Amino acid sequence: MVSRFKRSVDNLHNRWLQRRIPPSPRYQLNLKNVFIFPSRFGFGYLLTCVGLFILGTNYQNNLMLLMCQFLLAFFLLHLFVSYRNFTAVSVSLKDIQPVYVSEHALLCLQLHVNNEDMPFYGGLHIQLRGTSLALLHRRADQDREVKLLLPAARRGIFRLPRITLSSTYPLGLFRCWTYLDFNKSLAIYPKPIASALKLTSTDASQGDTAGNVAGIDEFDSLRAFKPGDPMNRVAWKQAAKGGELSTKIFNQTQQEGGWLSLDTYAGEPLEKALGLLTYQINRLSSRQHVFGLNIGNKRIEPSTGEAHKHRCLKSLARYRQPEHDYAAD
Amino acid sequence: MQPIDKPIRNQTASALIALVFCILSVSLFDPLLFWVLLISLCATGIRLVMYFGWYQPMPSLRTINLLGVLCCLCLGWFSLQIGLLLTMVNLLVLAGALKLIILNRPRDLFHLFCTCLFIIGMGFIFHQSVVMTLFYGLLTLSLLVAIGRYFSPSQHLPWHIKRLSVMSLQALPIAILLFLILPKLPPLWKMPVSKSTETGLSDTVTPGDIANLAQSADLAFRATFNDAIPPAPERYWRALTLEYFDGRQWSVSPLRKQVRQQYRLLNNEFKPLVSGDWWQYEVITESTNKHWLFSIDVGIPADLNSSQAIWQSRDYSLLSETPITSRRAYRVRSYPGTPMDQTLYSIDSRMNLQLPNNTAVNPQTQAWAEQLAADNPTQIERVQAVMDYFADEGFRYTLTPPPMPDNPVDDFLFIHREGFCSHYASAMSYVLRLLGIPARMVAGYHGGELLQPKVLSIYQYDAHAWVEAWLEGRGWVRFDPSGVVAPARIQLGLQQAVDEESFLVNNQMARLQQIPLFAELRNLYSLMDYQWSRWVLGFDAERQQNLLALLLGKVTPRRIMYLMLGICLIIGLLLALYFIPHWQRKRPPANLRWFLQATQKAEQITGLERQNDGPEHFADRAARRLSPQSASQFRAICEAFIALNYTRDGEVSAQSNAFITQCKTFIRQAKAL
Repeated sequence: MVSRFKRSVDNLHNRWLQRRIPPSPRYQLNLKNVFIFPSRFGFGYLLTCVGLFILGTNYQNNLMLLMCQFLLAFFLLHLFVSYRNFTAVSVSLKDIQPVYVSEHALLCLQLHVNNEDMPFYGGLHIQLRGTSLALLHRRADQDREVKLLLPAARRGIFRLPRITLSSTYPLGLFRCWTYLDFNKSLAIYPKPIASALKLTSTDASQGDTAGNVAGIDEFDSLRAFKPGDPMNRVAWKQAAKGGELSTKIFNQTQQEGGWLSLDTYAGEPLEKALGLLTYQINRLSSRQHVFGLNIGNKRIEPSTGEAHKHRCLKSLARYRQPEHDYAAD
Repeated sequence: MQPIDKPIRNQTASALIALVFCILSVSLFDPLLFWVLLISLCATGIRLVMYFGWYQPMPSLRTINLLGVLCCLCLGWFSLQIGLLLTMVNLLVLAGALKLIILNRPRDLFHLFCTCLFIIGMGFIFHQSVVMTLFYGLLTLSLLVAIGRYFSPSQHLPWHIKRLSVMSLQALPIAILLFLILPKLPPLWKMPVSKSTETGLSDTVTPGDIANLAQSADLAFRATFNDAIPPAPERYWRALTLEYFDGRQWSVSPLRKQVRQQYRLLNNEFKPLVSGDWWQYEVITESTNKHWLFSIDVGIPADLNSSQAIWQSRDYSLLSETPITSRRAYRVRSYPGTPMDQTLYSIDSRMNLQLPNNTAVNPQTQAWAEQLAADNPTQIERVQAVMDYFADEGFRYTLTPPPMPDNPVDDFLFIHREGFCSHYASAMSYVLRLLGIPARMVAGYHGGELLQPKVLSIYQYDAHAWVEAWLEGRGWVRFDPSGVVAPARIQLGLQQAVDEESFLVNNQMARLQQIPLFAELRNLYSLMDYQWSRWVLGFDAERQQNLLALLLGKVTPRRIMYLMLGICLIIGLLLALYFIPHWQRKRPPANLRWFLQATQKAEQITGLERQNDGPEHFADRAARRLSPQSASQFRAICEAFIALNYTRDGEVSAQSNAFITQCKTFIRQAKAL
């Protein structure tokens, strides 16, 4: 009952935030998206002021009263100083590099000071909303960026929840905070599991075609090095002997139309099968092989290159895994 | 990667707050118990050692808790001696010290910060001078710096000091506005007061006591008169009446205390009928930790506020409702012409004909009194006879009379014949009682040093004692035997009455102040201190009412509301001034300003308008109407301006100065064709 009520309140809050602070790749902090309220310490400070006031009144001691009023005035000023300091920055999020399960994704918030005459000071506290991931970076004003490591426990494509960014400069009496939604998602690929390559031929119906696979690494010839050739193809032996840089050409005739398929590992548990595929995609891409991917109903046509690799890995990550919010557990 | 999040070891914040705490506890040297002070010093030491990293491990929480329990037990034991207030102060310092030792989490730092603020507040109970206020202000600032340093560790300490000083200065006007306007409430409930450090007069006087007091150059109180100030001989400041004599010392009569208690229960305050001329004045008294207040006879509270705080007793003295624990201001009106015959003779005579139970003490005096009684039939004659005895028998007024332990009055009257005012007053009162005249000793101050034309400072060495006797048909009449023996004491003051050598002989500091330069400095300090007590410490509800009346004309709820709104507005404006950046918009650079001025001059002379022409184009146009020399000058200016503003940086400042001179010359010399 309580939890249901809590959830509905949460939902209401989220919808309100969606309207109040719509997703954006970069935020200029201002009146519209910054919240400010006394912190716990701030309330303690106010309590001290009340204590001083009572003491001063009971002893009819003007200096105590003056001190109490000074502290209150300071509290008021603190409100404005905090706010001005926090709104001196705009915030953007660096692209999050995809990671494999059991690695850590790096969330990197960058701070841009709007006006160098009025820089930002103090530390920043960053928290992923709805998770227990939080970090206080006390020298954020120096580094101008705040990093948070996100553990990747499960594969999938996750929506990044809102990031709570808060500052308590200068004396921690007030907390300024904002919830930022950069509309980014986090891709977590299955954990690669080393194995032998298993490519199938174009025509999947022809059965076992493992024999073709043996030829793909066969050396064909050398040609002169051209800028842009991958380093692992450079014939270092020849270069070491004092010759010109040259690139090894491999016989690729047999590789055309190689396919990776989930069906190959039908006997394995799903997660392990995906792990095996991940390893093979990485291996093939690093050798610049052309390959395609068959996974469930999805077919990715043979191709090569980084973009292709990530498309394949993403489809592995997404396989039977609906997109939802990132959660730290 | 993970930043250190604990305010320990290398964190300046912890070392800074430790130092502030240490200085704070030392400044409370008087109210603190010695071992509490020692613990707080040790705690500071431990923290500093951790800060410098000589010894890293922290004492465990269990050790500290054990220490805390021990300290509380100790303090509980001592609390019986030192009273509730001092126990509280000690407890607070103790708590702070223990917290300082286990300072580990940010929360501990915040707790310590609030505790220190509170201790500073407590400090104002004990110290209220300008110097100490400044000192505590600095400590508050250091506390803020310590916390600020914790929240932005990447900035340097001087940066924090500057930033927080600016913020404090900005907060000060707002604080002062609030101080002036927020209503001053009466005490909400009775607070414990400290028992120790009684200064000034005490309610039991042995004749030697006041002479001891005369060694002290401390301020007793100050009086600010509205109009005229009373002439020097009239400045008898009554504090308390001593009506019980045990043969050696005088004290407040227990009967008097009882009577006073009963009247209080009945809420039957003494309201003497007053008549004649009056002096109105405000007294700012230093703390005495006693109830009595000072006034010239017959004093009554001058306004509602004072009368609420003062109880008028039937011995014509004024008593404060709460002990004077800190400087206090009250306003009194004195009617010197009022006869003091408005109390019940039956009660007064019962108290003031009391004689020591032990008749063996002072036998000689008793015999002499019998003789006097036989010789002089009327009251007046008897009093006169006693006074004449003091005048004629070679009595000497001195601060250092010989000790008279056994039969003090006998020894004084018949053997040594030298003494201080209290010796005279004591002896005379006793003799008058023996003669059947109700008489009592009044302790207070006499005199006062002029600080400003209408302000008197009364110091402890002005302490004085005199005699009041009830004469039939006249009531209480004041007699001052010291005045007969040493008229200078009454006319000029103590310093002139005793020889210079013995004045303040034990008080080196005070003697130093007799040197002109020091006297000057002391005077300056007194003046500052006086204004401080008057306007800051003495700013009570009454003053506030006066201020409001001054601002509003008539104080009505409606106007008060407007005033509150006005104050809010002013605070808002102040904040706008601090935080809206428009007013600090950058001025255009100097060379642009001068160029524009030169152009303006050219426009003026030629009658052309520059409109949006570029500098060179305008120079061409203007050249036709300027004298050749001015034209070439103007052209040079335009080219220089372009060179300055549109080429890359480098030696700009030197060129810029030359350019400005060029512009100035042109503006001075420009001529039309």
